[in-house]
Amino acid sequence: MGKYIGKRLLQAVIILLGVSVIVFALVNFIPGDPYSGMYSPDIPTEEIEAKLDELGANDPIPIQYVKWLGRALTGDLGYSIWYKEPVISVILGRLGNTALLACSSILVSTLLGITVGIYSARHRKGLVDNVSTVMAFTALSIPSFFFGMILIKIFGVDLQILPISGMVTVGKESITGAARALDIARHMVLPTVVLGLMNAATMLRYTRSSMVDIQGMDFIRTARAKGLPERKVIYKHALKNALSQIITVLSLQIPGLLSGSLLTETVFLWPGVGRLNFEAVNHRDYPLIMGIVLILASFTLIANLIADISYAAIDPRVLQNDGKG
Amino acid sequence: MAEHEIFFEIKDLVVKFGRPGRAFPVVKGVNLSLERGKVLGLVGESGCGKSVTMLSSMGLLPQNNCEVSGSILFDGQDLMKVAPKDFQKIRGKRISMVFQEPMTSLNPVFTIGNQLEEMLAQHEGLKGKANKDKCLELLSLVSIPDPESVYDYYPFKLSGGMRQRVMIAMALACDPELLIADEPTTALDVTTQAQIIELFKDLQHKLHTSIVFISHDLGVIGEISDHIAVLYAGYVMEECGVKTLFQNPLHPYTFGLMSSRMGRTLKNKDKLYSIPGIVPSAENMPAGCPFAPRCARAGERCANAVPPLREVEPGHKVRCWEVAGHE
Repeated sequence: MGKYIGKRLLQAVIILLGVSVIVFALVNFIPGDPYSGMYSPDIPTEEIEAKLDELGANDPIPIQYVKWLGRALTGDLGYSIWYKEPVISVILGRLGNTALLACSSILVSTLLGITVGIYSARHRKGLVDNVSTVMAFTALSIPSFFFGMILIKIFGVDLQILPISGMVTVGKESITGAARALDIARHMVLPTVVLGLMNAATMLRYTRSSMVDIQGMDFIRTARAKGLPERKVIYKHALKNALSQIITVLSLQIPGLLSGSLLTETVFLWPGVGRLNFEAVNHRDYPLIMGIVLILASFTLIANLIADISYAAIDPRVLQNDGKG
Repeated sequence: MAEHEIFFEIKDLVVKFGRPGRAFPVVKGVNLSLERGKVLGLVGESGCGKSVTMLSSMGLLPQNNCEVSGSILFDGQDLMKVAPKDFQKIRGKRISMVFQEPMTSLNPVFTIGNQLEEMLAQHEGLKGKANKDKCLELLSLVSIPDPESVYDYYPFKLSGGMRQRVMIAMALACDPELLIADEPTTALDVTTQAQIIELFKDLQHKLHTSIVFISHDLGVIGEISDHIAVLYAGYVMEECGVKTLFQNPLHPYTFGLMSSRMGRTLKNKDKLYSIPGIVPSAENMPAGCPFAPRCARAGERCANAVPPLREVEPGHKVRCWEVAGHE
């Protein structure tokens, strides 16, 4: 197991290095000088050149890359041109908000997707199965921003029971404690519903199909022949076999949510990473873009690493086959 | 306990598969009975209803696309009328089953120990050390070398033969009164097959468990059974004691089965006999005797009416118009 984790970890580090090269190269291929917007036009060119030399902007590209990587490793991702503060603190300021939304929507999608998925698999062609299938495909076909706007129209504008955007009510920024938590929770409802339902649809389809497959397996018949209660047959024997499938879906969804759902966050004006990314591109804030991409790539790799480790923990054959391959 | 007590009896079992109204019968009125401590062999080609008959005794047929009627009496209780909750207490505890496919019948993500242990915990309430001791005892009972290690193995570490031993250990875990062995040796190579058959014979000797042994191999069946029923296309074609069957097989189908296994040895290079034709499918069942299209002795009557199962001599029943005794 230790060897297996070590191998996966090494792979992740190598991939991350590759990502950093690509990110750095892409930004450096863009013509122009990212600092050009930062100084006033009446400063003499020699002074600008001297400053750029000092900053290392005129160094050969590989040297610049090594310097940038060295700084990145110490947590220094550069200085945001638009926000005029270090990239890392800009991102960290938004990451919490995104994580909050990600957690609540993952909770909704996982609970809903897995329970309904298992139920539909057990009662195939039943009412719940048919209704949930139609709803899942509807959720998957509607674009998230459109779904979000419909919810805003119904619950925010017509019924006026939920706030339509932002994270705290304007004018109530100074409240603290439970009142603030409640205010944020109210703002979270709609974006959570949008993200939660969309991810639940995927989770449901995957859970259902893998549970349907597994239910026809010989070892499930064995479990029944052993006289185990149905609950144990399904939730122990079948579900553990379906878990790898569920983890695969989760490992794809979690980085997606942490990278901030650009559209959903924009529609609901949620101050998260997704919207930050959108703003960074709008403002051509290269250091910020690089920082965000690098951090999101790390999340994806970490999620994959955790998924790989979970596969091995669930199914010992993974370790066995890894040794051979 | 009476000496010849019949404690397991299948009466007029009919199993149909398919949608209601368009269901095809797969088992067509099977009657079987078993005395305590005896071995009943069911033999027949693939698809003749052997497994379906016994799966219905376990209540393990898929519920959504099959209809079952008739009665299955087990120790005075009609299993067809038992509530699902109560059936759970019988399955694995009083009736257990060994399946045909040892490679896929164990759950790949749980250890052997766990899969044995949960059964003892479920039916016997055994916990902790008492449970583990019993598991190890069972693993040694089925001659698994080094049970201590195997207890912690996942199934992928074991060969087919070893896995089948584990399945047998599992089936024997709660001292069942009836053990159903559904072609337990079919998926194994010949030497392993012989070992598993030896194991069954040995266990039957030691534990006096009543067994229903399903196989398509007359040799295997002949070695282990006291009584044999030959099934074809959902009917019992011939039923008698094992000696009678081998000395005096009456049904042309049984004859065919016998001829298909004897003959080819190193000295005798004759071509292996096989019964011409194939088993008719459930959709295209002939009106008369289902074996008639493949039978050399079939007459006119055979094509029109299904012969009844008749006792032609004491303890020897045959379903055939052409066997003496029909007028």
